[in-house]
Amino acid sequence: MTIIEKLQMYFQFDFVRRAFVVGILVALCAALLGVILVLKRFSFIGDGLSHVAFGAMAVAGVVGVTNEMVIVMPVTIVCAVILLCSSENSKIKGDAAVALISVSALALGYLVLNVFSSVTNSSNISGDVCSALFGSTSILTLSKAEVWLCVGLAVAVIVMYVVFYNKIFAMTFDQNFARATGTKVKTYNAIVAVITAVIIVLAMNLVGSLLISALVIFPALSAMRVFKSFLSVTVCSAVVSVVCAVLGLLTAILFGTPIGSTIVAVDLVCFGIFSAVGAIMRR
Amino acid sequence: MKVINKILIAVLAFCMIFALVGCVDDDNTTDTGSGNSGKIDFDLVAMGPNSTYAMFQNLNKNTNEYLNKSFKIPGTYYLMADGSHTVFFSDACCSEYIEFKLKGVDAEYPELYENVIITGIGGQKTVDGQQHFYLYDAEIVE
Repeated sequence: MTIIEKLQMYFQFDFVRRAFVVGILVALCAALLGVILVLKRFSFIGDGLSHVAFGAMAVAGVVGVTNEMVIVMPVTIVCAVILLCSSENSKIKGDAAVALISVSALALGYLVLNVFSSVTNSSNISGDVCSALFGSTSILTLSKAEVWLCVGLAVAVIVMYVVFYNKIFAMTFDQNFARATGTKVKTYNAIVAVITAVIIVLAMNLVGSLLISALVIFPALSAMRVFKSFLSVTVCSAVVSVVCAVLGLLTAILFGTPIGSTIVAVDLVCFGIFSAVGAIMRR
Repeated sequence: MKVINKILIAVLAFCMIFALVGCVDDDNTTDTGSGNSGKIDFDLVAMGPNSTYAMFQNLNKNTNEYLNKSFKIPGTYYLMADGSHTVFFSDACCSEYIEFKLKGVDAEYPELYENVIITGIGGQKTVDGQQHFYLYDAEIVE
């Protein structure tokens, strides 16, 4: 079977088409977010929040909630707001706060899953944990309702980003100046925190908890090698992220590699190419 | 706005439209399936290991979408403690299984741990108040 025939065979299945739809939208949203987080020196918050989401998912599974989003999304949003909005005033700052919450949630989540394994509906805890952490196949097991939820949330995130673009730009580069010009910094920080949490929860399906940071950071860093203006970096980052997600999904499906790791590997190659291009342009 | 930004935004808009169009299911994927007409709706033998494993998970998780569809499934035969006949797949990161019931009353089941390819129709049954996917009218093709 040629590659084209293989692709035709795979694309006739709903679960493959859904994976590409959600993958494209999540990659796009993660890239938009990544530019802000990289510039604000909060690159690892994706990792931290994804571990919180994993812990919340474990608790949701044990409690027996039908739709895990009911627990996962609010818990992740609350942690995002705590981390992003209170970092300046708290005694435990920035990376230490992220590490504290991140590691605790991951450990407690896995502990809960194992201690209460008889209560969960899953007959394959190791498989579920592996899929949740590394995103090996979770993007291929989305139901119609989950796809529409992802689409709705992704469109909402993109619309909010476009509507609040100027405020987000001002707060990313100089929060004090933004505050001095009358911008409600706390409100917009909270908006960014909510957007971050939503995207992290959606991105867990694509690349898994442990690899989310790559999806958020790599496109932004790649774009920054070549472009200098905020708008150019944002747009380029979004395109790079979508292209890498599509290539990663295609490669993983055709060659049987884990999806999350393949997408991150493609992002890494892209970063290398952009770094080389940037070095050549600077000469 | 620079030309490059306009081009990139156009590419992004195309990707978003493609993604949103992709949300719409084809009509032929929502019919009741080919049933016993001989055509296989889902040939897992032709898929890679991750896709096959994902399909096993889909069948157990999103069961309603696969009822009355026909399947061709590879795996290893295993007899569960409760007497149900299953085929499990473990060529990907982890292992998943699907229960099946061969056509006919005195059907001969494979040897334990024998590699088999099974065709059957997707069905649903209730066990201890929970819905489970299984293949009925199954046949061993290899």
